Amino acid sequence: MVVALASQKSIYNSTNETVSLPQLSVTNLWWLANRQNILENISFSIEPGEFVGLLGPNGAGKSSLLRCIYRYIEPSKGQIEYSGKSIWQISQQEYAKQLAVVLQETPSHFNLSVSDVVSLGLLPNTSIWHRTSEKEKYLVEQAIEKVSMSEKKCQAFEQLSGGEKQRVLIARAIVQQPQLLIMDEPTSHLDIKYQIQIIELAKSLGITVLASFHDLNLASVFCDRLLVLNQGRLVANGTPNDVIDCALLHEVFGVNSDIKPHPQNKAPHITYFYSEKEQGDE
Amino acid sequence: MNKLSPVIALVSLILLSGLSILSALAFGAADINLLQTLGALRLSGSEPFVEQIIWQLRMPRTLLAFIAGGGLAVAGLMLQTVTRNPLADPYLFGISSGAAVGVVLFVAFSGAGIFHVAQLSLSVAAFIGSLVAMALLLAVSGTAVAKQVESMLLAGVALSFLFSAITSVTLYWSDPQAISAVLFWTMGSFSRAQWPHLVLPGILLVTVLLSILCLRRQFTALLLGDESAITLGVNVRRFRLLMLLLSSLLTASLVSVCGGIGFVGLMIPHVVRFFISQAQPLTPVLVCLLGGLFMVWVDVLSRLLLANQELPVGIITGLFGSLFFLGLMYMRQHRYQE
Repeated sequence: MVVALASQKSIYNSTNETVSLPQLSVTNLWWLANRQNILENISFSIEPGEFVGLLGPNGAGKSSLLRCIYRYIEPSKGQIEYSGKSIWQISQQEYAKQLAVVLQETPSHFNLSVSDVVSLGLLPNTSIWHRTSEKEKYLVEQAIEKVSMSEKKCQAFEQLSGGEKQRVLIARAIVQQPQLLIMDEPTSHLDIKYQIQIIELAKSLGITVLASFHDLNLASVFCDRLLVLNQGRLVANGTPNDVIDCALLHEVFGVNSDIKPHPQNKAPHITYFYSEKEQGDE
Repeated sequence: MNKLSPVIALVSLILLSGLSILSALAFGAADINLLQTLGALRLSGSEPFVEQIIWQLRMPRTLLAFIAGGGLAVAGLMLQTVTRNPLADPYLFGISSGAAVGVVLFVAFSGAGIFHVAQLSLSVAAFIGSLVAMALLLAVSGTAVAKQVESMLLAGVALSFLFSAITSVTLYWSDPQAISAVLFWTMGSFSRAQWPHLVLPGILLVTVLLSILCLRRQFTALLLGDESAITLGVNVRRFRLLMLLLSSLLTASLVSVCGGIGFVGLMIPHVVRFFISQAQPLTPVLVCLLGGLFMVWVDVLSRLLLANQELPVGIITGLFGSLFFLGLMYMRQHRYQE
């Protein structure tokens, strides 16, 4: 039933999208690993300026989908286009000028400092002979300032807390000056204060964002549109109001819940039920 | 965490290197003092005998030591960075054992004693041996990005063992004189240095240094992991193969003229990292200078420690290098605890 619902929604969406060229479009994407379908026939597109959330239980294929989009893995079948051009036909460096990625976990070796890490955001925009100019140094300073890490810019990246690391990586993304920002579970392992801070920071950049989330309520409040993956398939695609309903939550996440509008911006807010209790009248 | 100014470090290392090379020229079997050395360098009114010793023996030898130290240290820095393994060093990947196989097979099958063969053919044999090792390694590590580091490291260790086994087997059937000669050679020595030996390693060292200076941002990007480097537009697989190729060529050219000198490539990059962030553009140059400086003094020690005899360089780097390194780690540990 959910699948049928989802396909209806995506038809509705795709008729809307024919007006202008989408910034990113994924068409009939398949990815197989060890002969298993990790991603099955995924199609969607993202318009400039949208803030899109990617949801799904563990192992649904969220990270794999994002990895296909930022070219870490090559899909088995299907097309990913950026501004109408296949991403595999754009040079890797050109693509990095358009798209910045904040990974879920970033290891750091040999004691790089915070400003070392942020300066790496300059890489896609510089040629090999290029010396870092004063303007670029200023850009790095500004980005560190923006994520309020100025006091720790000389510290080792490795010794930061999870939230601070995420902020530093967002600063790196800011330096990269991309048109599209991809974040793979930017809020996991963070205190709620920093979860909100990170997302508001990403939103304040005013660029297109595609981010995966564990916390459905957070996604519901902040995202313009939600994509829901389940077992490698895209099962819903629409505004939080369209997507989040009890049936889908039960089907995809295996939880019973009650949904009420959030007092602040009327986005659907989920309350989960625990143990064996059923959901009464619905 | 913040550290030395790279520019100050650079200036002092350049000065120290110059002074060290000068004073290293004054040490050796023949009694020549510093004044005579300076006289010979300016080619002004010194005895032709002194001049000849300085220009034909000690100068190429000292410069070779400097290039070898610098080259091995830079190769170590490159391999540690692209594999993100702090234990990587130029010999981990079987390049020196490949060279040893080349020499040993050449000596064994040419039938001549190691001192009767032309030096050049010995170097060529060693170089070919290293190239074979390198080709095998590159063939194995051309795989997908995700498994590249792992297969590089494992294949390197396997190749080292394979080559050591071949060397041992060949030596087992060779005469004792050849064994001791080959053994001395595998432990490293600059005693055979001549001007022509400097050409290839010198050119390669400059090329490698220039290329990592140009690619320094890509180089640093790898320290945050492959996935992150790819999102910054680095073609990680190709970049890593290029670095492996360059560092192997450099190492092979050095091994073929001065034998296997362990530990410099492993240690010097770490010593520099204790004081200066690896992301600094000057870091590769500093690593090179410090490696060269270290090796010049190691060579001096190898000439001085035993009267009328030379100690293999590899023994000294191992001995003093590890003691110094352990001391540095101990001090750093204490600094952290305070």
